[in-house]
Amino acid sequence: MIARLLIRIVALAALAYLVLPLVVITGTSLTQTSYLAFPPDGLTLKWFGVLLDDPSYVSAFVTSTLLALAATAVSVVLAVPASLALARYAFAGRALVSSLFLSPLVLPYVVLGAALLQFGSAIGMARSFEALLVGHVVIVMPFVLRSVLPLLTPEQRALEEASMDLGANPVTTFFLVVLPQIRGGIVSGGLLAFISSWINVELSIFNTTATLNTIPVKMFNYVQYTIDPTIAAVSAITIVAAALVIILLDLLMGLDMLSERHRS
Amino acid sequence: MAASRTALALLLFAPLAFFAAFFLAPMAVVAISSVTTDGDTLTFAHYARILLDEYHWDVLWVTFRIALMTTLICMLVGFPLAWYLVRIVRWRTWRRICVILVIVPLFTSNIVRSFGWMVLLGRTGLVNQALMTLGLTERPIRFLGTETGILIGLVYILVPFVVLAVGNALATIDNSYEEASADLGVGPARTFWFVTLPLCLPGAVSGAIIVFALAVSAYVTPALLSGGQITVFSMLIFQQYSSVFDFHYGAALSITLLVLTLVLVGIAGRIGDAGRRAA
Amino acid sequence: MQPLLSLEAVSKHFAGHQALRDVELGVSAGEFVALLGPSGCGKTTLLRCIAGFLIPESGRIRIEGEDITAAPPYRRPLNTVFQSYALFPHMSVADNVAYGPRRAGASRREAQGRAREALALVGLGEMGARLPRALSGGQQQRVALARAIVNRPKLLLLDEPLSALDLKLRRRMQIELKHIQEKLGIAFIFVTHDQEEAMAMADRIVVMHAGRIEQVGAPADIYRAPATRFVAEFVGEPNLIPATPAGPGRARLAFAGLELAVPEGTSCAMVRPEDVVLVEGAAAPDLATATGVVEDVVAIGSVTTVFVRCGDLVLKVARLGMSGADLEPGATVAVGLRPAGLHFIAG
Repeated sequence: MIARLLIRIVALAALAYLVLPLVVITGTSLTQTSYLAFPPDGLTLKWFGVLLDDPSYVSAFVTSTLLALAATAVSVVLAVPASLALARYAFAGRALVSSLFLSPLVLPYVVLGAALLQFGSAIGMARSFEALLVGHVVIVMPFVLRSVLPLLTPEQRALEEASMDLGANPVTTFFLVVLPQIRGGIVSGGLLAFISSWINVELSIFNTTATLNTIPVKMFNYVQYTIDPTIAAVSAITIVAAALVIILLDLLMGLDMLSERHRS
Repeated sequence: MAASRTALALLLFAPLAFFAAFFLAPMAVVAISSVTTDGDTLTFAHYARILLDEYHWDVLWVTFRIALMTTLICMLVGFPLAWYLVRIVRWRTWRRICVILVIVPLFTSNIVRSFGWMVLLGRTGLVNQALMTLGLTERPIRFLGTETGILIGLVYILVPFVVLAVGNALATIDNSYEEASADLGVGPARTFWFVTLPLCLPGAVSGAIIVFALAVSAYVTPALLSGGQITVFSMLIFQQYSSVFDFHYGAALSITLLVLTLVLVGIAGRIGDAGRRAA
Repeated sequence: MQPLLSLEAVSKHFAGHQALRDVELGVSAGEFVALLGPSGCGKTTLLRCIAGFLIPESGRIRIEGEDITAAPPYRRPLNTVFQSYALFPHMSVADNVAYGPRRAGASRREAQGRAREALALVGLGEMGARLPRALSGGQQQRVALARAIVNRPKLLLLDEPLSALDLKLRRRMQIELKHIQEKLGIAFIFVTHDQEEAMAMADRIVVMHAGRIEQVGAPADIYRAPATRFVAEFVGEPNLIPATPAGPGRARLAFAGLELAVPEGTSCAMVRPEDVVLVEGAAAPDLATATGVVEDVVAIGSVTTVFVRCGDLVLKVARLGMSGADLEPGATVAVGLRPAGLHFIAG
């Protein structure tokens, strides 16, 4: 019983520790003072207004969003056929191909960023939107792959065979039978991909410039010199966006992953 | 058979070509430049420099110390939280909220989360205010620019990984094992020690190694919370590429970090596999 | 007449093991053929080769003379009922059944009309709007059947379609399936490992073992005159009496000192348990008899099996109903069988 109580206390403290910074940032973004104050000194949305009036923030926001959207779209287009190949065919080097596609999950982003800068300089692509895009596709594709692959089960395979048996060619089968079955995986993997691209600093920082900048990199560079409520306002936006996406994911597929599966 | 070979080639062509062009080729460029000079002669001087320079050993040591402490604290904080969520919480809605609270930080940029701690840990930040109000300290404690500050930030960023890994392992343990243990007359504490803990150990260990690998290669958090006072390994890489412009030396540092990380992840994978086979 | 389906020396390997070896088979229009064998015998592999999900390495598969060996599944004039049913979970029952006609170019209205007909045929006329998961296992099985026959293929492949149903429902579906097959005149190739199911439904049974066809024949022939020891043991319960050569064309059996004229290479004689009798009093003149000791009695209601040991041989004696259930192990009895009714097996 004492152990249980102790665990409860540590757990609740840990939860508080996880929430505290997010609450503090959101709170300070509402302060009326020109320095960071928590609890906020009076309530205002003026720091969000400052953001909207600053074209460099607006353009960074646009870059980040376009980049995340494009990276997600390309990674879906690449990951779906890749997962079909990995799930449906036994071929020499299958394990190797699968670990190649999944390896960016564990790769130090700093290393990949440096590599893309160096490679980009060699082929004249460095510090461009394309350089950012290809890097982001590489790091977010595993998320889509990982959420689509488990859906391509043997039962799903039987559905494809049934479709072909009934006279549908592979393309028709893909759109009428495969796609409806893996749509959930594409959506949740795509959301993960979008978020991972949107929040990335380590990879982007090598290929951004003063005019081509993403929100996280801009924040990173800014925070090293100045700290004021505009940064808190940007942060608050990303926190609220992240929370919304997760609640959406929860409603979509249920994030109740920690409930016990073998309890009677 | 020929038809299925063609289909396989069609499916794999685009993803493989993309990864070859924008992942393998860049990595190869780095690997090659790490063992060459500007004149394109083969050399291991860059690696020798890493090995021989005492400063680098200091940086490596600091990086490892921070990563090790981060992993340890993550386990100490994450294990009870996972246990609480899986075994103690009975109200589904509350557990759902808790899981969301654990995941939201994961979906928020490192930069935002580190920035939060810059605010909290400052001289007049909430943490120092609280400590002084409680009378635990008379003068504000310096956190920023110390290893403690970096630790607080890194643990914050990485603890969700442990909670998810351990929580998943705990949630998949069949409770008939524990019932069998109780049925054989073993008390709860000993059941935990001899049954539950060994069963979720593989999940916990591979979670810990992932945390360690991520902590070793972390960049944003140490960069912000060190206030320029402490250097970790990934900062060295960034310096070479952004201000020193020695791509060869930077490449050697990159490859070193990469190999280190891959070895750690490989070990984690082995342990995870062994755990799955045992389960 | 040209057969509907003909298999010519069809062979298929899987990673080091031979799943099919030189399979030869012809199936006529409107025929009900059961592929019978234990799991791993190659029957499902053969079905998948016919359906087009697998391509054999050698041999030819023809339908009405046309070579379809390498044709993709969607270009073959046949349909399949899958073991798992494989109903599309995201489509209503009616849309599942209309899927085939739609792909064959029917308009939406026409396809729906044909789906309604097919569903009515399997007794599910009212279920069209539901999703497959809202149906019971037996109903899902009927939908799978309706979906497979809606295009009126000449040949229907069924891969253990009743294996997921409970025993009672399975018996009922066997009869119903047979009726539907006769009504539509479609040839059925029905894979099963249940010999009773095969005997109950098929016009012809193909017994498979280790990738080969062991025997093809009418159910009664397979039962009475199995070609090999494997068939004798797999289809029904046999009594196998060892035979040792005793001069040219003759053998001595390990029962009652019988010496008989046998075909060349005979290794044993088979008699079914229901053809062995317990003799009380004087035996009929055409019976060979021996005395033995009762070892065990198993009564399951409709049939009672008495195990009688005669020397090294244990004979199974089947009796209708509960007669003989009161025999005690250890009792001495006389058993008799008709030498003229013995079937000889080589090898």
